[in-house]
Amino acid sequence: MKLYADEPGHEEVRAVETLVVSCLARVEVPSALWRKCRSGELSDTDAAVLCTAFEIDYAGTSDIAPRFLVLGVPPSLLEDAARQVAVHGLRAYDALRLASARAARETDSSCDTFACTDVTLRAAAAAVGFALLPGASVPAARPQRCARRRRRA
Amino acid sequence: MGQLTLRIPDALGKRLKVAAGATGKSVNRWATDVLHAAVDPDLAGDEPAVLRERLARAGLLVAVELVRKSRPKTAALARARAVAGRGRRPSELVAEGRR
Repeated sequence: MKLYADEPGHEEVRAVETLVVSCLARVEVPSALWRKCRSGELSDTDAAVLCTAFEIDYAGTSDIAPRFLVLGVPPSLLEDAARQVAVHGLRAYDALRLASARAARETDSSCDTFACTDVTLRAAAAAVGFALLPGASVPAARPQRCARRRRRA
Repeated sequence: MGQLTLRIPDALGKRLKVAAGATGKSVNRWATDVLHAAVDPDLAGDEPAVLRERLARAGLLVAVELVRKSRPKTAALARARAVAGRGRRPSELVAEGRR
């Protein structure tokens, strides 16, 4: 979400070159933006602008490459998420995010950073060896969309 | 050097030209690099391309349809981001949606 809202720590997230996200974000991000709109905190116009920016980051256009690498939810990932639920006491969708990050890191060890502000999910990610984004200096709020970044060697 | 002839949809051909053009390569050179990457991800090119190939080979990436929209103007995006950052954090709303 920090790509689309000036929340604490957004500079750190926006500086990341490559973001790997779960396909669940395709629904979660617009849902949060339109919910904020319905609450009167965001105009229809601003919500539409942010949703368009997200859609282009997510999918790309004929002229613009997508910013994200989008992970699906294959059966192997569901199995790992089920294990993470048991080990870390995560909610289902949070476990899917952690499992997505683990799968990406297993594929490419440079996917070593986990972006999230949820206290429980951050603890679980740290427990399995991920660096965290934003860093500890940013006050942890109740959760945030998760993503992974690929750190340059 | 061998030749390979492919039958592909017109729309895909246009997308390949755009993708190749974005990298400054000819379609032939770009396609050759992509085919190299299919058998060795480390030859895919820049880091994002390498990562993309590795994730794709692992069966983790999903295919996403291109969107037919224009990027919002910088000023409009900056304004919307600033407004969205006030009040209830959207990240909190995402978290609520997972409960």
